[in-house]
Amino acid sequence: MQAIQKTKILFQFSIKKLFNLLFLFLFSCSSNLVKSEDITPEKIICGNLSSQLVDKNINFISKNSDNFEYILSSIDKDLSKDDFNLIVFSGSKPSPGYKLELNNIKKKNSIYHLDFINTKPREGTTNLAVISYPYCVLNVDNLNKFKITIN
Amino acid sequence: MFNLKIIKIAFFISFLTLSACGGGGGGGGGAAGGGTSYTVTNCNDSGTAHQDTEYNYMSSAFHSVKPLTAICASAAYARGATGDGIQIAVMDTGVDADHTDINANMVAFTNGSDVVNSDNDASDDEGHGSHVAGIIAAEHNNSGIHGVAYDAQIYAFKTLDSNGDGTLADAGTGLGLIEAIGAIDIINHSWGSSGDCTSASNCRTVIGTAFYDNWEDVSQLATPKITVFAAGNAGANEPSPQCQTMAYNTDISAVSVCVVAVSHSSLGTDGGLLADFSNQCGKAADYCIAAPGDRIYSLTASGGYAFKNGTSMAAPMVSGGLALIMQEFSSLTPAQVVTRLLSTANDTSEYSQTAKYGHGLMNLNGATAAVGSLQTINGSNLLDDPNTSYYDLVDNTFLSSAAFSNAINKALDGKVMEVYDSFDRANFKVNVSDFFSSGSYVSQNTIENHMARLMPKNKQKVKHKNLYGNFSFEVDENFIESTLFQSAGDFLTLGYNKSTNSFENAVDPLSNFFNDNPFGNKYLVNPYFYTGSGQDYFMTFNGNDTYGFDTFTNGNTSDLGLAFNFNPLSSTHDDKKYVGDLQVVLGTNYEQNKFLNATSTGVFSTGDMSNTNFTGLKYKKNITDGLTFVGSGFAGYTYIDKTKNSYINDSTPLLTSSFTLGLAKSNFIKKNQTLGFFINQPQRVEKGNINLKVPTSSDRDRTVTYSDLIVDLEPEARQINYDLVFNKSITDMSNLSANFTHVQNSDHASNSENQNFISIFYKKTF
Repeated sequence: MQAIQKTKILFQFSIKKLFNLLFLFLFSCSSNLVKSEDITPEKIICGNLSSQLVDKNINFISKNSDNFEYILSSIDKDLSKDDFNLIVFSGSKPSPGYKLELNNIKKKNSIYHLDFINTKPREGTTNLAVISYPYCVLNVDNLNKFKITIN
Repeated sequence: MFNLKIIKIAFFISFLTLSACGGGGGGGGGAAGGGTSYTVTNCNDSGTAHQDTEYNYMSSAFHSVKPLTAICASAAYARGATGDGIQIAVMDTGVDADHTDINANMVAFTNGSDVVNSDNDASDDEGHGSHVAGIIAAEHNNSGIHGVAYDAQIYAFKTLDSNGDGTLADAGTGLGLIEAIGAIDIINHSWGSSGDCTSASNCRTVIGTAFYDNWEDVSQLATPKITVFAAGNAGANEPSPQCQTMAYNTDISAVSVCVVAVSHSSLGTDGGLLADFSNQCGKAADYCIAAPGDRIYSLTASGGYAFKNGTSMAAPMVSGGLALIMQEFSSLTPAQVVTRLLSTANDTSEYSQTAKYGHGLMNLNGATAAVGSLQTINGSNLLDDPNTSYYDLVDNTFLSSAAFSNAINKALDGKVMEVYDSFDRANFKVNVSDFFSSGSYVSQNTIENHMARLMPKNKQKVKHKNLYGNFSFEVDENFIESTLFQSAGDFLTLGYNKSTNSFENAVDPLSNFFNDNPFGNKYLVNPYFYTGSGQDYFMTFNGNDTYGFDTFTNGNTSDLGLAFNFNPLSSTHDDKKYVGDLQVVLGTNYEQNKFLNATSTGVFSTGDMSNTNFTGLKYKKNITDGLTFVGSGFAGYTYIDKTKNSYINDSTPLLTSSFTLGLAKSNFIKKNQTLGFFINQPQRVEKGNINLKVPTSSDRDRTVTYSDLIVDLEPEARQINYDLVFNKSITDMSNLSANFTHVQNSDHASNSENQNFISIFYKKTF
């Protein structure tokens, strides 16, 4: 009887553990099961554009895109495609006070996870009333498979 | 190596990641499209008055209506409004003062104008300020674009950095610098800050105390500066806290405007609807207006051009519009300029949604046109003084006499004066000559006048009348017909009449030459008795052969004349039979509300008792049997009776003259044939002038300046009529008359073409 009770408790504990693991697996944004590697980009430049260079639904342009060089030079004619391999956009914002910033890059299972954040204008600042398009231009070594998160 | 497959995977992963994490990245903003398309009927802006390539600027293939067309700019340009003389401060990221499309309109950077870097170089290191300045005042120089107010001048102040960011403190500092420059009329703010405010004190905290206090100060200067703020781009129901502040401070709101953006771009909201990014007017609706702000093409900081979107672009449209209004109407205070801008906006249909558009879409056609009726000022030089009165334009007239109409036309050519609309007394320039119309002597010789002599004295009805063909009329139970022809340039009249009516003696202008009355013909009448206004009343008293007098008044008793006639020589005296008849006339004439038969009303009125003292000589002598000489000459001095508040402020006595010389021959070739030849100069001013005092300018302190306009009334030439008259009495009941008149310098104008009139009349009385 005691053994049955112990078995039952063990089972309940196991079930709870299993649920916890499952919960963590399902609802975690980053996998705790896979060891990740922090990546530092070789170069990164973030700023704001006042012209919309790409469709509003496009969040990034990678180096193998046909218009990568054109977009890059539209951002800044001094930027070279040899120095960068990814451009990230976060859509239109009410003012240049909205910035796009890189939070971190983690490599997991050969996939690069690029995590960006949008920041709002700080309280007490003044900002131009022009529609702006925050961007980051960066170069990440060996960037092959990747996913981008913008919060 | 990258390849297409990997990119597709990356897209897929990215989507899953965002979904799973509820991330806010990706897209956002942009053009939502949709909504009901609204056809802009803002104004009838055909652009014909201002069609150049630059006019199409700010546009692209994406624009259904060009931004300048949407705000009716060409109508303002057609009226001469270009922003000239208006100074606008652009508080922004600086301005590229070397840009070839605006450098001529840039004021040199002032001390401390770069607030961000604490120096005097307010150059643009971001691009936004140059774009905004270009929308306001890029030059109209046949290249690139031009601004709404392309002749306005720009002061640049840099209060936002190269990233487009700034501090409330720097904004306050910048506004303090602007406050100190008296020449600046308008301040454009294409920026804002975050937050809402709910009271004046709260707004002061939210937008920064320094800025708030300086804003209040510039709004309360003796000549306040107008402030324009962009409403912001959050797509919110309420505008930026700067715009919200207008709702809580009446000093500020009196001279401030909040601007929301509309879109005419197919890539945006399109159709002139509120741009999807634009905040609405919200609580600032009473001080708010809409203007195009989506995909506007203007200057960059590197000498080029670019499209930008935002209420940042709509605000300078309005700053430019205010500059046009301000230049066009120097009589308006800054507060009135703002009120006029708001009051004339298109607030119909879509734009009647006050919460969205405030007063509606800016309409520079309505803003620069007269609102209400145009009126002349009268009674003082203060536009708002209770003693000042105004007359509608139609109530101000001056019908000049042909004795000086040529001179007055010449003197007033190109002269302008001010009139004011009934809405806010905005000042408009009009030609002084617009109020003046010319009397003409030529009308005496018109075909209609000749034909009028054929008209029976009783009631008649014109059935058909055509100056270029037949002319006929009939009278009840009497049949009259005439035939009229006209040759090009000159007149040829052929008339045939039969009637039982009697005709005026004027059909035979020589009929009185050989009767008992020595001076009873039309060539020797007193020119100072102005007949023809309706009913004329003459009374003649002849004491004896040596003197008498005539009185004259007309039907409306506006004229009263008296002339004494002395006859020192008379052919009726046997002992003076061969010396002829001489009459000396001395007289005076009073005219009510007119002088020299020139009538006027309103601000050109004259008094009740303009007076002419005249003298004349008439002489007639039978040189030989059947050959008669006649001559007369008159001269007079006219004193204009001035009336209170009339623009006819002063005058010198007007010396006038007229004369007639002629010969008439009876029994010319045959019995019952007469021939006459006459030379005549109609009444003409020989010397004298009137001094008009007309309003010519007005200031923002609501005072009007009057200027003297001295009008020399002596015409440039002298009209001489040459009259050849032939008359033949065929029977007692029928008469044939022919008349050739040659007029030189008609109406005393040297540039008038000589005129010739030929008339032939046949009259038969049954």
